[in-house]
Amino acid sequence: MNQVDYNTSYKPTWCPGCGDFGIWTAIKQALAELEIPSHKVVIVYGIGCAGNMANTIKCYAFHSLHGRALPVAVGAKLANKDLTVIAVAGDGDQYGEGGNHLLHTARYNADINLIVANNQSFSLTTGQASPTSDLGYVSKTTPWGEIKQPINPMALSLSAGSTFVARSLAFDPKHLVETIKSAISHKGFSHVDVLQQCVTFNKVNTIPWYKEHTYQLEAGHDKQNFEQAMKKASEEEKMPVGILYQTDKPVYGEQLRGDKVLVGGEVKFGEELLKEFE
Amino acid sequence: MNNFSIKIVGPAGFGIKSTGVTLAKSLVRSGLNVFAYTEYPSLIRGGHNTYQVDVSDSEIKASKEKADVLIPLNLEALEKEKNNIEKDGIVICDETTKQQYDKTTKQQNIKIIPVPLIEIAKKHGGELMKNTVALGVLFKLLNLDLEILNGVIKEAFAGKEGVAEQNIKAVEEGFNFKLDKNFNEFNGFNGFNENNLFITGNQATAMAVTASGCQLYSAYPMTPATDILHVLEANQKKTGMVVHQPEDEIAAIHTALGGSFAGIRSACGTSGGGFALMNEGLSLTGMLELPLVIFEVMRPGPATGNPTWSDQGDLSYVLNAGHGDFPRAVIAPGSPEQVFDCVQHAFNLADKYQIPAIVISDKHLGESGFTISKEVFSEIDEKNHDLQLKANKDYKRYLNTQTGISPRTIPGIENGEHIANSDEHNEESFSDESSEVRKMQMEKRMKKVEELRKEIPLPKVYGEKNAEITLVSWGSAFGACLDAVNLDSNINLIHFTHLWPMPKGLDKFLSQFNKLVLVENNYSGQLGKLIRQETGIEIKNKILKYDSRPFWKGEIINKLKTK
Repeated sequence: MNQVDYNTSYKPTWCPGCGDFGIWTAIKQALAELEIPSHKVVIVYGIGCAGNMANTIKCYAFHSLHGRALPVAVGAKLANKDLTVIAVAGDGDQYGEGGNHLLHTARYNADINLIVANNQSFSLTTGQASPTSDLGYVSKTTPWGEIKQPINPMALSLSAGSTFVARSLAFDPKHLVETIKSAISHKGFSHVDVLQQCVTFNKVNTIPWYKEHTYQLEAGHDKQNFEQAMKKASEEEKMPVGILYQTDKPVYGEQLRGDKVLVGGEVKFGEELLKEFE
Repeated sequence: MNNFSIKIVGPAGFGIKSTGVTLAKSLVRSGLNVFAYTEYPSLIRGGHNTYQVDVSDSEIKASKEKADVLIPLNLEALEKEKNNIEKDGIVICDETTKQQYDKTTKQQNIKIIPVPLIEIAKKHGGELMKNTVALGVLFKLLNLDLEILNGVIKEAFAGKEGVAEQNIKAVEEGFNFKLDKNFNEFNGFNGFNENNLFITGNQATAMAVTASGCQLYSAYPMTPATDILHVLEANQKKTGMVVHQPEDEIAAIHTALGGSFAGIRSACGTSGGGFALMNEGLSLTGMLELPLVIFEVMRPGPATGNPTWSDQGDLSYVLNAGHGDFPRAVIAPGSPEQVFDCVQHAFNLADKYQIPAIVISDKHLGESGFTISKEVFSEIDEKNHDLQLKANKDYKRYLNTQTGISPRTIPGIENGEHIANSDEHNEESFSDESSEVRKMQMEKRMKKVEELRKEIPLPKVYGEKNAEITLVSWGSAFGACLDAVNLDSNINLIHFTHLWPMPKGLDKFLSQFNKLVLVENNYSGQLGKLIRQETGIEIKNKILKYDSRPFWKGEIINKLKTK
């Protein structure tokens, strides 16, 4: 399979040079390499520039509301465990409006894969500061610089109970494809934060800036060590890129419905249920 | 025989509800009809809880405002209820309660029968069993078969035989206590009924959801809808339904939508405040054209309101909620029989028209106990899933059709890939901002309202066709209205179960009646407003009750006298 097999007839509308091109290609490439046919893929999108990817990947797409990709993904996976269910949202969407859903979907350990396109800005609404904008970031809503502390999505995800936590880069296709493949193959909730450039609105966190402020996790990093992962996640000056944490825990859907595919199935109703009212 | 009401009252934590349910079940098994109404404040301990069981050998639909037998479990409870006793009513209470009452109160016109409830209870296991002793006394008073009561008690304590035994001994001693009063209404009544159930509206809803083949139910706890969640959760292993308690109501509706998108029948449930949080999800459902059933079990608002009380104040809201124009169905059952029918209909309509169907009820229906024949639960409708299980390369998810309904594929079907797109979209489902596409899709979606309207029946009429006065009701006001019709042949009733869309020909239908009187449990007469909006007919006579209490037996007839 080839990544172009996942193209639709709709041309992307992102600005030339946008990090979303990289994320888009990497998702398609990962699906092609894993040989998952498009009709078995569900991608739930939030609202924003990343959300507009909904038109450009051939699959069963669900273009949800702002912040609301994760709960939809949970429902789809519960209904049909044979689907590959991915959620794609921007940083404003997932870490702002969708914060509560991230917190809880992580603790459910639902078997879905979250990819956050993190450009540290609300871009589609023309450039406001987002929950991950750096302190001092100047934008339309922070003309004298952001005074609110940015959230640390990796640390947040870890403490909420995510069983796969990783960071990658929109402009490093090889790394991104491998990370997404690992995330999809992981059984349980996977969270990949993808640092990306916003060429139109974010003149601070550019590709050169990211290259200077990130480093590849060493080969010897113990992915199963929670404290180590937290330590790495807390490094904010120079951020580690790679799989910070990966472990196995009981999966939500499996515990609720086993390995049953609910679609096409039935629910039992009978006299037995009425006994308590006799 | 008229209603005969037995009211058990006391602070929360005294086992009032379980005693009430035991009593109600025993009476139903004795072949009688009961209607149980409960009041409780938003507390876990203390306060003033009531459980009233109205009994009759004929059909019974509404509670009397006052009690024939009051069983207060402490002095405070008696003080609070002393003005709610019928003229010839009696009070059964512990000896110490009567002593305290005589000392502190001047009001001597109520007949109190003191029984050593606590003394007897302590002999058999503890003071908490005084309720059970009182039940024994009651059964003697009413000449009922003690074995039936014992049967219910044994089942209630299945697995705890020791406790069951203690309770049965307590009941027996209560039954054998010498009283000097007898009620003759039950003399020689030797009924036994295996066919009737004692069930609340919420329990019936849970049964209906299961019978409708719903495979995913998601709900966040909110009074008075939570019992639906509890019953479905408890039955999961038997039914195979997936029941999910999410982080908030926003997740509740979106997870149900995810299930629907993937191809299974899904539903979510809540009360007014939770429904408020679901509004954007409702709008999304309309735009994506996915089937979804939403349960809104009302309580008095606005805001937190009276969480444990009842009213019908969210109708206008539910009809108009969610930004933008989009099709929906709104169905309002008024009794457990209607629940079983309406809920199945809601799921079928949601699937057929690919719309949200909101089933609206309230605490009065949800938490009151009704007598109903088991047979009702065997009327299971055929399910129409209406899915396109095969697709070719030309497949268009939002194809413009005559009816407005586009064929729907689900994930897993080859060539059926599409975007369930919250953006305005073209037939191929891609985001599209052009004027022609917008107009076309809006018209396509709204066509479904007119198609659906063709299937909506006119409301049923109860009573004599040519009655002088015609009550107009919806939802749980049904019971009290039907009661009025049974008591007075000058009154009949038009009762709506399907509120949106409204049926064709409603204006002609309504003009057949002599004098319409609107009966609702809300301040602004919301059904009246809807009827006027849809037909131009304004119902000038209104009986509106918005004190968080249901219409009592006889109340509607009394209010009509003053009109």
